[in-house]
Amino acid sequence: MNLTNVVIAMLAAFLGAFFIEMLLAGLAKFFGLFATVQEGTCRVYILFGKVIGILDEPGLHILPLKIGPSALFVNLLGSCQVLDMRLDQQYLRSEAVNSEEGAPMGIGIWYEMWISDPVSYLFKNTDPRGSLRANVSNSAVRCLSNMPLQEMLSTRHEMSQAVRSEVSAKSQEWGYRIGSVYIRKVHFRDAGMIRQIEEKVVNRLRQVTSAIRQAGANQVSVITSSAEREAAVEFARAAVIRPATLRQMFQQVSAVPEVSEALFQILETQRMLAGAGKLVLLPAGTHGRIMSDLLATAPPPR
Amino acid sequence: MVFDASLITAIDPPPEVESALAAINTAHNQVSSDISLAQAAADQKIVQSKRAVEIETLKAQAEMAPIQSLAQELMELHKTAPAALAAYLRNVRMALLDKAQQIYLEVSR
Repeated sequence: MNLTNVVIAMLAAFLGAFFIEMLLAGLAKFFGLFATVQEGTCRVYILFGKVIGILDEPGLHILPLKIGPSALFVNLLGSCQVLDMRLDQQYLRSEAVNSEEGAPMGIGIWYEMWISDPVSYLFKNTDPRGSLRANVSNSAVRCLSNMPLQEMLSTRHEMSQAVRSEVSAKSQEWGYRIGSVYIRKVHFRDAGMIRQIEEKVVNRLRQVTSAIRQAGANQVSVITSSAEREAAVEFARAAVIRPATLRQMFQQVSAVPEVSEALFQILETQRMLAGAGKLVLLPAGTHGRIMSDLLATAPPPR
Repeated sequence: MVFDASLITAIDPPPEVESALAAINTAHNQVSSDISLAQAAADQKIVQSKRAVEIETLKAQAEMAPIQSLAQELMELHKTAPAALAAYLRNVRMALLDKAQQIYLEVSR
């Protein structure tokens, strides 16, 4: 029984202390004894229409030490604005500019900004984000209009720098700092012009294709012709090898007529012996009569 | 911190331009292939012609070798004994009598 009473008493004491702590913390916060600043945020305290303090360091702050005794009733009679100090981004699509040649172009601009001066951001401009967007847009048109088309298509880095330098000064007046500015897209706005350029590009590419094919065919012809010429020279050399080889030997042999005669008679005899022809031997000499007799007895041709 | 850079996210050519670019690539590959084939055929032809020279040289040497040997022997025979050349020749022709199917002989009356 006593133990139960002790447990109930401890629980009641714990709950009572818990609620009393919450009540005291709420009262302390309401009366401005302390404030908590989150990472990437800034608190601006305004009392009777005047900024009395800015807290931009994250963590716990004892307000009376920062902004004085007015902290005790700033939440009651004043207000506190919490600003997001993180980096913000915006993309402006197809900002209309004209090139020096008169081509209607569109520019896509990506830029980053963050709040550098909370007071200026809150009180100098009712719509600083919209003003910055308009300022970037106007600066882009002013800086990039009448540029030669080739430069507009190829010098994005310089274009980005020009827009950034133009915008930076103005944006700081409204508490914004401009970060990086990118020209992300440069495009033609006139559909007919786009089609004409496409046709030109396609025609040029087709010309290049034809040129590549023609150059290839020419190179193939050169390779083939060169090889044929070299091969023809070699084949001609092969054709004269036999007479050139035999010529030297026959020159030596024909220097001695008896040997030459005997050589060819032997070669002829060898061919006759090797051949499959029917061989008939007739007596030689100018006084022979057999040949004339044979010719005389031969049957007349039909 | 400020980044001084330009960002190019993507370049997507229109379909016709893409097709023309693809045609260029195809033509380039086709030409490279044709050139390689032509080069290979040319090399083969040149090798073939050089090989033809070697073959003709060997054939000519093969044809010349027995004749040259025979000629040298006949030359030696003629130098050493000129009369023996005629005898050798007559001996060679004797083989014709073995091969002949008919022989006509003229006899004195």
